[in-house]
Amino acid sequence: MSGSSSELISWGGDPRIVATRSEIDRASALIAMAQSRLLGEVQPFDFLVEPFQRIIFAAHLPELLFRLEKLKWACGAAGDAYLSTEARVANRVHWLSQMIAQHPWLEKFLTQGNVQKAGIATLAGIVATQFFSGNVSKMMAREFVDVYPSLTGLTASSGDSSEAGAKALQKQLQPLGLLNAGQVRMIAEQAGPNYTAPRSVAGIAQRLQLVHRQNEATILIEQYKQGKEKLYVVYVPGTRDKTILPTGDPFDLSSGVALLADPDSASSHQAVLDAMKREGIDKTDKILMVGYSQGGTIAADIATGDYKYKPIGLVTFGAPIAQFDLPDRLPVLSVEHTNDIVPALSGAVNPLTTNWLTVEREVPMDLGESNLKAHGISEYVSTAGQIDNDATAGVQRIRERILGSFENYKFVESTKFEYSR
Amino acid sequence: MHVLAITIQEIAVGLGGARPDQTLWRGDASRAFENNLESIIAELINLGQQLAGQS
Repeated sequence: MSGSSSELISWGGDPRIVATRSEIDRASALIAMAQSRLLGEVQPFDFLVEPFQRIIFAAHLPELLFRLEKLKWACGAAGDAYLSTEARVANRVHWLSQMIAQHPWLEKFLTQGNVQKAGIATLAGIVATQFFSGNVSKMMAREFVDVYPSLTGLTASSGDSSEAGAKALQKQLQPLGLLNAGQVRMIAEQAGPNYTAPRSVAGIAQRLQLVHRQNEATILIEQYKQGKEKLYVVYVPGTRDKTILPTGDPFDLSSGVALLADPDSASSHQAVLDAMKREGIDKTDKILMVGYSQGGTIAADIATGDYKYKPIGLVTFGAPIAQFDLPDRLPVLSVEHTNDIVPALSGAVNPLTTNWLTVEREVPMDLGESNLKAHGISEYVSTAGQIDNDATAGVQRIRERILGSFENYKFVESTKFEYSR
Repeated sequence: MHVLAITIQEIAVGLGGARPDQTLWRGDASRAFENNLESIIAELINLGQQLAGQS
């Protein structure tokens, strides 16, 4: 984890420091295995064979075991330090979802009635986390998301992804007529504002804010050109209607749940792909995906490279994207407020890699105020301004890579696509 | 060679597998970890050789 002079906390984006929990865990597991094998050589009956050698070995063993134990502790400390204070605390509470994932027999003790109650209580827990203070809210929300599918007994959970939780929620709510979305359709296509290329992260965030605040669900696509090469920037808004019932807005909560369960099934996701197709983006054209909240999740899904497009960068604000396997070389800037629970709906913590930068800030709030304030796009615009002035190595590098994408490109046009259903 | 000495050599080799994959974990902590690990592996190898030399 690297600090900064401002209120920002960031990790990733610095090629000198890379850490993946799986690699640290792998090293730790091999040490534990060596400890176990060493201990296995000093069982009482072992001393019947080569007793003299075993006595010498036994004399060395305590120090060896102690040094290995220290090394194992160092692995745990390294993993925690790298992956922020939030991850450190999250790991402490992560035991619950991991325990249920690893011991499915625990579910047998839950009767059907209790399963329903547990599911409802967990959902209530996710909602309640918005009133917890600081990063505790995010950490608890992540844990509830991981635990939910196991508690409802409907879907097995890996313990580190939102997909199972969202699928379980879909299964429970769809029979009640909730979350059943209609067909998405474009209602208008019109010229957008005349822009020059964004010169700052704040500039990108401000354009995204304008898109998010349009009256209709709008996707803005800017086109830039350098000779024959084209570069597109796709701005995707966040969840606009927060009622649980499906609405006429494809960027509503039902789409948000569908998006986490199966991105292709979400109306909002379909709208973005439709807009990109109408814009005539070709597989050889470069695209920079930008999204807020639900829109950030869509942008990340398209940036995985699983579609026919050629992503060159991803910028998200307040979006759950930790669940995606993004290309190693892709510069990623993921901005998350520590007290915003929405990014936690990924059920995981963003990885620490060379090109994936995560920047956090805690939004100051009054006592009893809902954490939904921390999810507000205006707060993210403010954080983006701080990112522009941050001198941390990883922040500087990824910021320059993303803004540098526009070098020598000239603005051609921008188009607004409006959708309904 | 003695059975115990061979086993210790095997454990030392197995422990070598814990060297961090630089593409997945690198930085100061990774280097410090690897240095400590190498020191323990060397000690195990020495111990194995010492035990093998005992008759």
